[in-house]
Parts: sequence; C-alpha cells; structure tokens
Amino acid sequence: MTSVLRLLKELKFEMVKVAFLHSFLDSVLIFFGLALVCTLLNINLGYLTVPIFILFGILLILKIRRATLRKIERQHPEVNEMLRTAADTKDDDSFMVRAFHFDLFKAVKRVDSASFLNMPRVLAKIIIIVLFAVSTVTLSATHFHVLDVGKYVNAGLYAVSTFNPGDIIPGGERVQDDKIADLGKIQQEVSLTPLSYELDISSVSKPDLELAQAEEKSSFPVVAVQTESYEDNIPEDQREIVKNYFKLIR
Amino acid sequence: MAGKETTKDDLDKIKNLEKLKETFALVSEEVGGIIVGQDEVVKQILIAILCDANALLESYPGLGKTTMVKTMAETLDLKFRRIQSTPDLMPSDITGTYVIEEHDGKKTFKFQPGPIFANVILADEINRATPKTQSALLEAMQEKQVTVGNTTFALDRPFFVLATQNPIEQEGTYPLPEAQTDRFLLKIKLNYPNFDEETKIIDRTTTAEEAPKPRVLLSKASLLLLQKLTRQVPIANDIKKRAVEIVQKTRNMPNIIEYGASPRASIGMVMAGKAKALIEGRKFVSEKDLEEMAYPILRHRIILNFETEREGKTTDDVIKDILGKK
Repeated sequence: MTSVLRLLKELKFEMVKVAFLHSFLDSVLIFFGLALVCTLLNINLGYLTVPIFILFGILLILKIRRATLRKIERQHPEVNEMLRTAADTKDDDSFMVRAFHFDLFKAVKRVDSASFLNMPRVLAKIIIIVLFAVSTVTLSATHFHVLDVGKYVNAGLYAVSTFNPGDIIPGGERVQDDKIADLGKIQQEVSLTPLSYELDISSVSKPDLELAQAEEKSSFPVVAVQTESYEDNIPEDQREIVKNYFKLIR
Repeated sequence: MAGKETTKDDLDKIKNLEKLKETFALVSEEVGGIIVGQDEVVKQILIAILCDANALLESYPGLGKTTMVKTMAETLDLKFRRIQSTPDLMPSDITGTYVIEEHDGKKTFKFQPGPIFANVILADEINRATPKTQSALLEAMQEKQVTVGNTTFALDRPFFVLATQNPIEQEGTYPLPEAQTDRFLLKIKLNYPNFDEETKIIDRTTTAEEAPKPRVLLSKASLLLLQKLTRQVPIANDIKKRAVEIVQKTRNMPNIIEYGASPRASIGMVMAGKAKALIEGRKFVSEKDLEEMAYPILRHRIILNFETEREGKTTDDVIKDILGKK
C-alpha cells in the first residue's frame, strides 16, 4: 500500500503547485489593481510591497489547506472511485487488485496540474493584470492623477516622523539638518594647490551665522576701483617717447 | 499481504487483460452482425455468463432470441442447445434418461444425456412447461448437476441457462413462482427494433446471401478464467453498502412494494457490477455499474402492490424512484 500512499502524496503536491500559481496570480492582480488606484491618487507604490507579500502568504496557506483529495475526487469522478476502492482494498492481494493498482497509477499520472487549472479563469486573471499594468504605466508616464493624496500623506508622515537627518523618506526626499540650508549664505575659504586639486573639506568650518549676517550688511555700497595698467610703470617724462616708438614700428 | 508489487508476469497478464474490452466489443459486434440492434441485451447476457449465473429473457416472439444466443455461444466456443417448453415436456426430456442398449445379446441400461448437457441452454417459453419440469431445469441451474435415478451427473462448465418468457398469451401457462425467478440473476427485456433496425433486418434476411459463420473469439478455458477474475474485481465498501441500501429499500416500501428483493439481489448487484466493469475494461466497480444493473436485477424480484399497479406504475418506474432518478 506504500506505493498507493506515495501516489496520494504526488497528487497532493500537484494540488500545492496549483495553489501556488493561483495565489501568485491573485496577489499580482490585487497589486496591479491597487497600483492603479495609487497612481490615480499619486500615492507611492512602495507602500504596497509588504502588504502584498503578506497577502500572498495568507492566500497560499488558505489555498493549500483547501487543496484536499476531495477536490481531485470532485474533478475526476473516475479517480474518485478508484481512490476509494484502493483505500478499501488495501489489504487484498489478488491479480485483479494488482491490475487495478496498475490502472490507478496510470489514471493518476493523467491527473496533472493542468487538469486542476480553470484555464478561462487563469486567462481572465492574466488579461486583467496586463490591463492594470498598462494603465498604471501610462498614467505614471503622463503624471496624471485624480487627486494628489500623496502630498497629504507625505505631509502627514513628516509631522509624525521620527526620521533622522540623512534618512530617505518614501517619495525619495532626504531629511537634512535645518542649519545646512544656511550654508549658502556663508563665504567659505577654499585653498587649491597644484598637487591636490580636490576640495579640502577638512578646512570647512561650521557656519557662523552672526558673521555671515555682519558681512552681508558691510558689503554695501560697492565701490568700483580701477586696477593698475601697463603705462603706470613707465616714468612720466618717457611716456611720450615710448608712445612714438610704438607708432613708428607699427 | 498488502502492497505486493506488480511483477513482470503480472504486467504481461495485465496487458492481456487490457485487450478484454476489445474482445467483448468484438463479441458484441459479431452478434450484431447477425442480430440487429440488441447490443445492450448481448452485454447483459455476457454479464450473466461472467457471473456464472443465469438469465431470464422477456420478449415477444420473433425477435431473434434463438439466433442471438446461438451466435453468442459460437463466438464463445460453447455448446448450444435449445429446449422448447411445452406443457407435456417431461423432466427426463431435459435431463436425459436411461435407455436399454443391447450388446452381444446382453441388455444394459445406458444413460442418454438430455439437452441440458451443453454449455448454453435456451429454455424457450419456460412458463409453458409444468412446474415439475421447471423444477428439474432450475435444479440444474442452481446445482450445476442433474440427478437421474441414483446417479448424479456434473454438468459441463461453463453452464448458462437463458430462459425466455412470453409476456403475452398467459393462458395455459405456469408462471414461475417468485422463489424460482429469484434464481435468475437478471431479467433482460428484449424490445422491438426501431424503424431503421427493422429495415436492416429485412435487408439481411431477404437476400440470397447466407449470414457469415461467427468467429470464435474466446475459448471455453478463457471464459472460465474470466469468471474467476470477475470475482476478484475490487469494489469499494461504500459501493457495496449502496447495493445493500438499494435492495433494503425495496423491503421498506410497503405502500408501493408488496414483496421486496432477497439478499440474492444484493449479491447479484455486486457480482453484476463487477462483470460489467470487466466488460467495459475497468478493474473496479463504479456506482454507475450498480445503478445500471439495478433494473435487470430487481425487476423480477419485487412485487408491486395493487395500488401501485393500479396507478400504472411498472417495476422499472419503482426502481427508478428507489435509485433517486428523475
């Protein structure tokens, strides 16, 4: 009878395979359905990742639990009666019983995963998934949304966030220290050397806001000063001679 | 013990067993080549033969019963004899008798076997024979032996009796008592052919060509082996219980049925289910087998009460109700 039990295990495995496929399709379908809604409301799709994985797990467990041999029996009435007969005649040994077991193996081999799949239903799911996916991609590309719920969601997240400076929040923005925003107001001393043309940031000091404000005030009004020219270095009495010389050689 | 693996020898035998369905289909085809449109009847007769039992055939005259049974006997390589029952038919006319034989001036009694010493017996219009003659035949059916004088003779195996009853012209007949009809595994109904079938029958019988001799498709030894294998066909417990449930229901319907079926009917249902499965190439009994066989097994075993008969219901209608069919 061990061979018959082995056979039943094989059947159960076929059912698990089907349960996995259906759970996967259902999860993907729900994911793309929600993705479409999220796109319309401008909500980040990242929020869906974890719930979808949890949903997949739950669906898989439920479907495996429901994948009993009774289901095989319902879908394959002949195998149903054969399995019942095999169970009741497990202690019998005659030529006909052995011939029957031989037939049972052949019949069960025909019961593959495909026979449990409701192909029209699977196809319908795949078509809906494709439609949802195409719609989501199209809407994302055109930045179309019915309502910008994402803005409110992000604002809410900021308000209740416990993010630290440097963290990236959903939406791709980086949380920074407020003081960094004032850096632009401060003049920095940067020294460049021929050997090391990289910026020496070790010499960058912390922003001194008071100094920056004072410098900002003292830099006005601006006075324009002309720089020294080449003629300034020629003695005044010789300037006319030099000028004439240049006119001559031109 | 359980779990004995299938051996190579078994596999060869199983492969031969696979051909059985084709062989039975060929028998049906061979008979169908001579008798038109009686496939279901041929199948039921084969079931009775595989169960090593006998059958009662209810039919109107002129439907080709004799030709059909004779052809079947020929395809199965069995010896066929026909007994025409009449009120003056004596038991010895069936079983045989001792005759005086003279050898070298010495007179001795020698047993002259009757037509019962064959494999397939067609007892035509059994209800026309007297109860005494009927009993002689039924005893042979049950015991597979006949006793003449003080000597008991074993009958050749396989042994199968197909008794026919004419549903009309009941005058001057001796209807089989219930206890006797219970000994027949099946009561097969032979109906009139439809228009096309009858046209075909005319074409076959009115041309100059003689019907071809049927081929032998199964040997006597194979048939005996198949009878043994029929008993080995596995059956699920709930299907066995379903058979008992159906038969017991016939005993618990006093407002419809006066007398229900005996435990012989339960045995018959399981056996007929096994034989039907084997003929159809299956090695297990299906619930459908039982339900199909319930009609020929129960129809002669239940007696409807007056009220039900007055309503115009037949035993087949009642069996249909028992099976829960619409």
